[in-house]
Amino acid sequence: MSALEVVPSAAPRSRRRGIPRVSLGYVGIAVILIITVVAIFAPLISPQDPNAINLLAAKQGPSSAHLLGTDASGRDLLSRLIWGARTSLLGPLLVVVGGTLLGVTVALVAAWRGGIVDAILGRCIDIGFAFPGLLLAIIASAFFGAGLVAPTIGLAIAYTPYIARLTRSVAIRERRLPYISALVTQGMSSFAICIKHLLPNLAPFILMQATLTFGFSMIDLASVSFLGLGVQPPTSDWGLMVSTGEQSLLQGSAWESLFAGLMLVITVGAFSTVGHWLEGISERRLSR
Amino acid sequence: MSDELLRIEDLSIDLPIGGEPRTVVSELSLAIGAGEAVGMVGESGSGKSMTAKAIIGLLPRGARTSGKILFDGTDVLGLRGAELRRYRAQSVAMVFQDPRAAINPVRTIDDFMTEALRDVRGMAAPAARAKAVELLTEVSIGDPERVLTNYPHELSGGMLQRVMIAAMVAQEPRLLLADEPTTALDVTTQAEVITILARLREQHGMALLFITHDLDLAGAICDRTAVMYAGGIVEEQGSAEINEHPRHPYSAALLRCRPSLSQQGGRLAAIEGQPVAAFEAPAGCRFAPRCEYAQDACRVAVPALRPVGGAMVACIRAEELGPLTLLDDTPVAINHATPRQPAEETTPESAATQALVTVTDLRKEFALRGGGRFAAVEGLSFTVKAGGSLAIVGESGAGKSTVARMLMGLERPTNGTIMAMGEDRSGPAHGRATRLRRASQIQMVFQDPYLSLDPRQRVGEVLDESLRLHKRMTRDERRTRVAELLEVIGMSARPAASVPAQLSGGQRQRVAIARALAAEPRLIILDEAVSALDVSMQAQILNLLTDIRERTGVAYILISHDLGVVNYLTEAIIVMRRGEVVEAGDTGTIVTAPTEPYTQRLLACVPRPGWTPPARQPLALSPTAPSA
Repeated sequence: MSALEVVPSAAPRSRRRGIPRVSLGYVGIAVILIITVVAIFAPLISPQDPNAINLLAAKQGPSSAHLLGTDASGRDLLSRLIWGARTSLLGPLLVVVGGTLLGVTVALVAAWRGGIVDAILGRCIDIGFAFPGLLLAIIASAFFGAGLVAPTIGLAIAYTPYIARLTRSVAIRERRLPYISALVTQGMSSFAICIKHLLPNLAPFILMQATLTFGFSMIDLASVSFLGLGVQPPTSDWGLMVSTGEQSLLQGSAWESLFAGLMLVITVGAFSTVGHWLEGISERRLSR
Repeated sequence: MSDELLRIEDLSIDLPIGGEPRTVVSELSLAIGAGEAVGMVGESGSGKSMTAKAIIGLLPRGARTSGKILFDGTDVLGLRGAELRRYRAQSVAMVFQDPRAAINPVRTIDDFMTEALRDVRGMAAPAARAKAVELLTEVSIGDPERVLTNYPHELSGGMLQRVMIAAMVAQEPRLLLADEPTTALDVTTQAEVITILARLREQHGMALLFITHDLDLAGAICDRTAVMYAGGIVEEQGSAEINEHPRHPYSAALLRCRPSLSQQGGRLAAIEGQPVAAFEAPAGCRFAPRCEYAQDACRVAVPALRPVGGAMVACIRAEELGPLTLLDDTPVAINHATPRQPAEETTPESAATQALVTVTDLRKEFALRGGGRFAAVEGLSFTVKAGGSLAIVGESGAGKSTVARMLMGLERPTNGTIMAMGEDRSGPAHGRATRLRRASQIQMVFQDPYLSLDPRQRVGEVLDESLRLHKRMTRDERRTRVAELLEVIGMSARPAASVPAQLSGGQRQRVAIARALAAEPRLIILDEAVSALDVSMQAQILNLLTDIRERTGVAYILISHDLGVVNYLTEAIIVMRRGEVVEAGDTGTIVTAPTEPYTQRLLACVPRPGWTPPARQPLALSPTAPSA
């Protein structure tokens, strides 16, 4: 009760370091939005058929006919990148949705029940850490066949322990706040408190985690595609394009791998920038 | 005042709040003589802490200052780098409100105390250690060698604050800044810390700037008191004089609105409205909107601080009003002579028909981390009648809050029974109907108004949610009822769409009370419900609680360490110490004629006009129990 809380706004603080930190987050969001819009409207935007083979125009550099050049089969790279955005974004999205649903559920149950339930779930989480994500994705592909679905499920399960453990610790902290006790004394059910009060207050944190996980799983899925266990040709996918471009690369035409790799770097970079930006926001909120 | 040590001239501080510079201290001038103790008294937002931070050069980043702070003739605001460090190391030291937050938790007390001596003074480790032992002895720590090997979490708050004071005195500062050093402590510990501060100041010839919200506390330790409101000093006078003859309406109002040991029931002379920061204040006298003496002329210009009858007063009507009396003592005496019906003296049959809650031989054990068990509550029995009121008082670790949590079903008792409205509540609530019935019978208001509301929920939603749980009402009926509840808590002017962040502490606590009322309970448990509030807000909330009781006949169980509040609001008291009942009975009797030494000591430690902290007795020496 002594003094009024002073929360210096982020802007003047970061101005000292030269670059305002806030705007980087907005740049990230803008990049993500642009790529998402491109992916959604791929059929309208893409200048050519991504799968139209023209062996006469193979391995060309950027030109007026093919803005970003062509691949080994003479397919238009720009069109393939645009269509590739769809699978490249869809995979991580499914991983994040699956992993977050599972992880947050486990976390809330553990945090709310505490005691033995928490201990058991905690052990399960620890066991989950033993499996590297990429390995799980590859095993899933080996069992259920290559494609988008199998590695996505594998990765979603692999990311669950990470999401669960962090969310659990934040949820435990939030659960100890008196407003939760106040709701209990109101006679509200545990489920209602978790869904209506706990979850919305954890939302900034969960969103931050989801954003970071999106970036990580995009790299993982690209790796799976690179190994040929993910999305199958002729469907375009950035990870796959890095892989197929490899042969052209050895023959002196780097365009396919370069552009696909660049798209991965930009997208993953955008997601981790936004993720860290959200991290700052949720930390400030949690340290009330 | 002989030698002037510190002179603040026209100090203004702007802080970036919400991205814009906002004035929190406005043209403040104050002088402190060498060895003099000055009290700075004010509510939230008055700028008292910021003034102290400006003196020691700890203003938050982005703060802008104007004016001068002359320490021994040097302008402190201009100091940078090595000069600033030398000034901090040699001239000033600061004791903070929460010692637990101000002492590094992973270092031992030894590290904390000797670090500055070794690094800044270049003392050898054994010499620094010897000095630390000497200082800890000075702050009345009986076993300094052992305390030095402890970590902060192993010590109680009172012990830590003493360590903090010892470490600050080690620097041999010429001015010690104490920012609400006892606010987080029990009354008994507070009295000890005050005694220690007063003694150290004398022994070391330090000047002291003592920041507090309690005029009586300032009166006990300071030579002069400056009362601050909305970023400026409104009155400056000798500490003893200001408590008897305040000249500024705000000082007088602050003194009047405190619930005292001599007032039971009735209404407190609350100050209307709420405290504001300098940038929120209107033009003219900043206190005018809340002042009962305000005239049109008051709203023209900020009144200057000027000498009036031996005091410095910033009020244009100071001469005309003269020294203000604290007349409100008179109705108090009447109230006290005719207390509401005593609670405990009920005949068995009427108790059986009227008892709302009967607690019998309640016991709660917690497992200790290192094995073994610890009884937080032991052998507690009491009865609360319909419409009655009971206070549970005691120091921290007494088990008061554990009792409240057990009554609410947040903890299960280890032994004993809780009968409430004909139902045994000792066991868990199975099923939705039981849960809701129990919740609708007993409600609770928590201590911290900043944490007891869902930060994302709007005021209307908070109340609506409670109504949906407990009442079969249509949407329109609920909307009407929400408006009624807002009316009851005096917030009908506030849109129901406000979120907690937009409300002051007092307003949030009002919302929490309205939420408790929504279920129309027969008993409300108030767990330190007014202790975190500003003095003027506290008086308003206490009046509100009194009104609600008159209107609805609800019973209260008040958990508190503030005997003034207890005396004002309740008819019966249970005094607890380390889980056990020390004394129980009628409030008037216990407050005026306590029989147990522990109760007597608690009462002696409550600050009041003309109060000095009582001499320390071995009773309070024992280490506090681990808090639950």
